[in-house]
Amino acid sequence: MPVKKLKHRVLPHPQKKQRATLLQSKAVFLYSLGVLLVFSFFRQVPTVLPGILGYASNITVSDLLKYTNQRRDSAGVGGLTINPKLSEAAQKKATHMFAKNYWAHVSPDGTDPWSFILGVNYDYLYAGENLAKNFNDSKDVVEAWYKSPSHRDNLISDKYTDVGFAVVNGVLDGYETTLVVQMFGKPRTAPAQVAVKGTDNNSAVRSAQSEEPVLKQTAPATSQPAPKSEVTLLKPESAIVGHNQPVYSPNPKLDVFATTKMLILGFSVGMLGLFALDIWYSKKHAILKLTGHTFAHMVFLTFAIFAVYFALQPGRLI
Amino acid sequence: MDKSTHLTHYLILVLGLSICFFLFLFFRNDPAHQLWAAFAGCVFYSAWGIIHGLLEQRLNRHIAFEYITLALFVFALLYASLSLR
Repeated sequence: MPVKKLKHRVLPHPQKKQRATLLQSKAVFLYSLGVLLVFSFFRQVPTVLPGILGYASNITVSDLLKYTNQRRDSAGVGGLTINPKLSEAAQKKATHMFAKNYWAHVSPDGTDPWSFILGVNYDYLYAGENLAKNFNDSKDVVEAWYKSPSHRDNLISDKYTDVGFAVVNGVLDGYETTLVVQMFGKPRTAPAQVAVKGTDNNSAVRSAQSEEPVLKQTAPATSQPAPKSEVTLLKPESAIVGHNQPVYSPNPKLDVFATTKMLILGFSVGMLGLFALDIWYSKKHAILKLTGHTFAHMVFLTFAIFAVYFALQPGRLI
Repeated sequence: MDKSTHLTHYLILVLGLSICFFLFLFFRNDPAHQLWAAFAGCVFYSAWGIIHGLLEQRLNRHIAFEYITLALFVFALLYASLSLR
């Protein structure tokens, strides 16, 4: 291929008054199709070749407990201990979310978090739930909870003595997802007067002397006669994860998330570079192109790069 | 088009994109709304490019197509990113 032709792939054409071939509308249109094609590929391959292309994750219950208690220590409240009943309730909640295809504290059919806790015969005085999904690392999950005021209220509340976790992988809304459920509780062992004051988003209080839970909720202000908790989702797949056991396709050769991020950001930044080259070369050779404004394209692309970077930050809370 | 008008047009562009970006961040836990914010940003950019070209009296089919295809490309990037989260 002649050097001149190659040159105009990346540099504007002075005679034709056109952009570089790689920046022309036809090429950009093909890039759009390419992005969608690669995206579809990345969506399908993990299910066919999970060992090669998958979602890396290193979330363990022991780490979640460790980082939770570290945060509680620094807040001056006592550490929590794992309660198998709460872990079972968390597992049931996660399984329920995958089965009913929702991600919320209260299911579409009205099942609230307290139903799961009471369902495993954990008679609580206080209860709470945090949910997270699609995080890569245990520490990131706990830090995200800590940074969210409503989740932090549960995380460092001195009302709780017990905690249970579930880290479960599965398909939610058609996407592979890892859910993390953290359930807090304090058993109703000793008779006590419970003051019903303040309302957390995802926590519930029951009277020490009554069977009826006294509900305090913040988020959906429904008056449910059941305990509330904070729910946090973490990851996909339908298997609960035990202590120290990483969840979700561990150690894939290529992590879908990291690879996509690298490809999308690399490509966008490369395109931004070509636009910058277009401005420089056009000025240098006084080329007046009959095109849109290159600087405007660069402004738009810069916003897009920041948005993509932000969108590809792992993890979400509810 | 004089310099101050040109500058005003760019300020409108940055302001409009900033609002969409803010909405995108604001709905960080709600991908459906994030996608709408991304869509709004892309439509806004296409409209800005076409209106700016009209006011400059240099708009033609190719220039309009250029703004639209770039907006489409950015929307594809954001759609793919949000879908993988």
